[in-house]
Amino acid sequence: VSAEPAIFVVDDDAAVGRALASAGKVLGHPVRAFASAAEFLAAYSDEPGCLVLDIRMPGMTGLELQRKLADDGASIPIVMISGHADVRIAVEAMTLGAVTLLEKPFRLDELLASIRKALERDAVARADRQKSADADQRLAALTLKEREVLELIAAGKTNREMADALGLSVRAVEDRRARLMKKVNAGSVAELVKLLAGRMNPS
Amino acid sequence: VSYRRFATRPAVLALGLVAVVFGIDLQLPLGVAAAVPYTFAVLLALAAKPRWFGPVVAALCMVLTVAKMEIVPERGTTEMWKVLVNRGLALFAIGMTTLLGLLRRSAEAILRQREADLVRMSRLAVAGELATVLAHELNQPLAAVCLQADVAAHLASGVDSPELKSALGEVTEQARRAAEIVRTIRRTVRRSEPERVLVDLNDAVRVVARLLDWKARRTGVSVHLRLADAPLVTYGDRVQIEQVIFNLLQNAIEAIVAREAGPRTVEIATMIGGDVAFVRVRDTGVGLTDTERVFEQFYTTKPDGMGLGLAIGRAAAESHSGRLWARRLTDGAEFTFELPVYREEKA
Repeated sequence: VSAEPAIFVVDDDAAVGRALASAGKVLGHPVRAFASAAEFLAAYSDEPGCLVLDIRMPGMTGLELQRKLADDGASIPIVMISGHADVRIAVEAMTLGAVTLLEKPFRLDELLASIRKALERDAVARADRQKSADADQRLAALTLKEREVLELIAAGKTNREMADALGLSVRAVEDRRARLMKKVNAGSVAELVKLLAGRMNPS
Repeated sequence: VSYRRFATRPAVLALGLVAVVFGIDLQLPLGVAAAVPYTFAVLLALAAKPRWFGPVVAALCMVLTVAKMEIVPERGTTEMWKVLVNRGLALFAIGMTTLLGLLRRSAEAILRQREADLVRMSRLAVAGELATVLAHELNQPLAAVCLQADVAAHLASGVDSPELKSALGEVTEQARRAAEIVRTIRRTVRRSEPERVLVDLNDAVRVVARLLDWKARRTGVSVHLRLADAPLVTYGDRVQIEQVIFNLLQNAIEAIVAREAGPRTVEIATMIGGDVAFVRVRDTGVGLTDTERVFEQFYTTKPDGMGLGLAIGRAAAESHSGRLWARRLTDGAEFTFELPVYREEKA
C-alpha cells in the first residue's frame, strides 16, 4: 500500500483533538482524529503514518494503547503528549519506543518537528522492510548452486579459491557468478553485500 | 461574670479545695485520714492549662499532709504507727493520682497529635487533589488555545499585518502564562513523598476506631472490631493508610446516620489472604447506588461533601500497590482496602 502517510490523533478532549488536527494539516498530510484508544484500534490497520497520542484518557490510556500496539507488532511511531510529564510515565513511554513526549501546552513547531521525525522514522522503517522483502524475493530465485557461490562471495573468497572449493574451473565459477549477479540485480559485490545486509535486518 | 469564670477555672478550684481540705484536716485529730480528699484537688489541678500546675499542687498537698503532723501534734488515743500509716496512705494516694493523671494526659496528647496529623494530611490531600484536577482540566483547553493560536499565526504568515501577528502572539503568550501558573500551583501543593515504614493494619484500625469513638457514640452507632489474630504488617505511609481507614469508617458512620431506622452497626474486620491483607468496613447505612462512581472525584451523595475522600483513598491505595473497592450489601455497603503484606525476604 503506497498511500500517503497520515497523522493519526487520539485524544479524549475534543478541543485538543481539533487543535492537533489543524496543526497536522499544516504539514499537508491527511489527519485522522479519534476520541479514544478503542476507536483508533477499530479503524487502524497498519497504514503508513504516525500517531499523536494523549497519555491520560478514560478507558484505555495512551500507555496501554502503546503497549498493545507494540504487542501486536504494529510499528507506527508515536508522539506522546501529556498534561504533566510524570518522570515514571515519561520513562515508560520512551522505553516503549515513543519518538518524544511533549508536555502540554507545547508549541506548534515542537509538535511539527516531532511529527516530522515520527513520519521519517516510519518511512525509513517501511523502506527497510520493503527492501528486505525485495531481497528475500530475489534471493529466493537463486538455484542451489548459485547460492553456494553467493555464500563463498560473502565469505570473501576469490574466484580461484571458489573454483578449488567447488571443484570447478575458474571459468565456470565466473559464469555462475555473472548469472547470480544478474538475477539479484547487483552491479557489484558491494551492492550484493548491501542486499544481504538488508535481508538480515530484523523486520 | 468574669469573676465567676475566674472562680470556676480548674486551677482556682484546685487551690480552693486544697485550702478547704487543709482547714478541715487541721480541725480533726491526727488519727483521721483527712488528707485523702487532696486527690480530688490534684485531679482538678491536672486539668489546668499550665503543664507544671498538676505536679506542683500534688507536691503542695504532700507537704501539707506532712505539715499537719507538726502543727497539730494532738493524737488522742491513736497510736503513732497508725498515724504514720494514715498519713503514708494519703501520700501514696496523692502520688498515684498524680502519676495516673500524667500518664492519661500524655496518652491523650498522643491521640490528639494523631488526629491533628490526620486532619492536616487530609486537608493537604484535598488541596493536592483539587490542584491536580484543576491543572488537568485547565491545561487541556489551554493547550488547545496555544496550538490553535500558533496554527493561526502560521496561516497568517503570508498576510502582511503586524497587528494580527502580534495579537496572535499575545494569545499564545498569555495562554502559556496561564498554564505555567496552574503548573506552579500544582507543584507547590503536590503531596510530599510518602514516608514508608512498617505498619500493622490492626494497629491502624485501632487508632482510627479510637479517634472516631466519640462520633460513633454521639450518633448511637456501635463499631465492632474483628481483627486478625496475628499482626498484619504492610510497608507504607502510616498516616496515609490511617487516613484511608479513617475515611471509610467516617463514611460508614455517616451512611448510618443518613438512615433513620434500622440497625446501627459498623464492622471493621482485618484479614490476610496469601500475599495481601484486607481491611473490610461494613455498615448498615443507606447503601450505594453506584459502586464505581463513588470513587470519582467530586462525586458525592452527602449534602456537605466534597466528593474527594474516596478518590483520594483509592489513589493512596494504588500508590501502595493496593486496591480499594466497594460492594453493595442487602443492607448497607462494604468497602475493602487491600494492601500487600510485607515479607522479610523481599526486603
